[in-house]
Amino acid sequence: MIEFIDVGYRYAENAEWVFNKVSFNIEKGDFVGIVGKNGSGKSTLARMFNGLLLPTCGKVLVDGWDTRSASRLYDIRRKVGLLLPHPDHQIVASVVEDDVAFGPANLGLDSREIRQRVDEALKLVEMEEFKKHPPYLLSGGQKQRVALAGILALKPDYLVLDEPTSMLEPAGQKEVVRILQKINRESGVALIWITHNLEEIIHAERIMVLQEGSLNEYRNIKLLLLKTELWQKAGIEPLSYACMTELLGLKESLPLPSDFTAEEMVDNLCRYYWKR
Amino acid sequence: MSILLEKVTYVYQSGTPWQKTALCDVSLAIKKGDCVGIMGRAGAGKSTLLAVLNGLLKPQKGRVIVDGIDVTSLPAHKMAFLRQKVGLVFQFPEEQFFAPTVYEEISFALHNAGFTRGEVERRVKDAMDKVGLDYASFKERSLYTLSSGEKRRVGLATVLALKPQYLLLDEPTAALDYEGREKIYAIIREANKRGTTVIIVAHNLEHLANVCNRIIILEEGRVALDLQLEELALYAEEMERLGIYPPFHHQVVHKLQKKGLDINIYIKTREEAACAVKKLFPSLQEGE
Repeated sequence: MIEFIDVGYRYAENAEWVFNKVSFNIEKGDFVGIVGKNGSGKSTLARMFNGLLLPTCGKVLVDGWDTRSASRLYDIRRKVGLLLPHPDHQIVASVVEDDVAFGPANLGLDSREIRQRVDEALKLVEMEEFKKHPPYLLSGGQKQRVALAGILALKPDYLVLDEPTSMLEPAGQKEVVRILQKINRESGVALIWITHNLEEIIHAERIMVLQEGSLNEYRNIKLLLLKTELWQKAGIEPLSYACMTELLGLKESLPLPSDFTAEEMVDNLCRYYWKR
Repeated sequence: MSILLEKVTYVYQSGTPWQKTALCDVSLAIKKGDCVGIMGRAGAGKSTLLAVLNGLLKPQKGRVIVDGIDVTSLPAHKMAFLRQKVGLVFQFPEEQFFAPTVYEEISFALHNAGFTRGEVERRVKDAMDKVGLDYASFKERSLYTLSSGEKRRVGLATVLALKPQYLLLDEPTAALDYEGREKIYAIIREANKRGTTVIIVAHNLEHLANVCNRIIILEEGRVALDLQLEELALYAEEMERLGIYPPFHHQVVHKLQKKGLDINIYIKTREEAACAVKKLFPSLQEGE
């Protein structure tokens, strides 16, 4: 479990708090979305999960270890992987499989174990056939998957994703979202998904909204995703499904959507209004 | 007044084993006052098209005619004139900032263009006003102290200050959040209203559909679809085949029509779509 206990952060002693008194827990296997507009402190928060930034006050515990304890830092970083927005900022090698092997090799694992981890990680992100390719010839989505494989090869329990698709084109976005959700479902790796695109986190169990220095946690998110005002206030674009529902003046008696697609809206409309 | 492309072909690294045709026989007419969205998969030729339009790349074949002038045969010393007429805002313009202050960044191109001091100041003020940056409080600000949305708007202002008749933008809202994006699109919409012809390359049609009246989809260097905004639902399936998803509201009316329902699919905005859906289900209108 990752525990944030009354965490506050500011960049300098007299600076304003980026956020303060933030508390929440994340269990293994969770899928949690974190949203907030630019400047709300999302990336600052992302860097506190694995001790890249340390809290100014309060504490962050990863499976009981305080991120401030220097002796546990490497254990913490192995448990908590961090994926950044730009794939080019996190790829170090000139061949895909070498890049994925970089982490496990630095753990000092023997070569057979490294081979196995690299193959498994590349399989998870569906990039096995590219293992001998140079990363620079890959598309943005493919590169982001390679970067992700490099983290998975360390066998983390938690993945912190800092706007993992914001630099990708729609096709790349879709593939990265699908792969990440699959990893959460099949391998039980917890996802802490930071984004300003609600579409990516409609399947999350919880959504936390960073707004004006504090963090609000929401459950029952399918219902909340339909409330355009809530998101607009936080500086987040509401889902198109929600905007359309509002324009149509649809009653909440309609079944809650699960994927928020146009197809679902059309099916719901027909089912409920054809009968009459 | 317009931009005409006549059978334009551009090949990268022509004559080498790595040669790649980015644009192939492209013919297009862009009318004064249009707001055109250019879409397509990575490598479809979008950015090459922008570069050809403002003379950064010279096509190997075909002609580009801007307001009656063939720019493909324009001598190098006349190019500055073209670039003022056809302004190009690159993707992530803030990555090219080099001046210490907002004022100096925006005025750089104006000084180069030979404007008087007074005219430079007038234009900087005007451009900052257009992008919603208060002149008095922002002109001396260091570019490093700006938010990502503000930086992007300075990037836009550097080009708007040249008062281009044609404004080309490559992914103008990439990596911005909702508010930042809305502000950029509001600026573009205003420029278009004042008569500037706008051409935007972007990946998200949902966002483009809020400003553009015409959408062109490129595929492997050719124009695959050239649609008016109200035709998006009609061509929904062709678009999806090209890897482009129509805006949500166009998808809704398209899918309702596919169910055999008699719905008006020639819609532009979300509001028009809602209207068409309500006509189909009268019980919605009455609010029950």
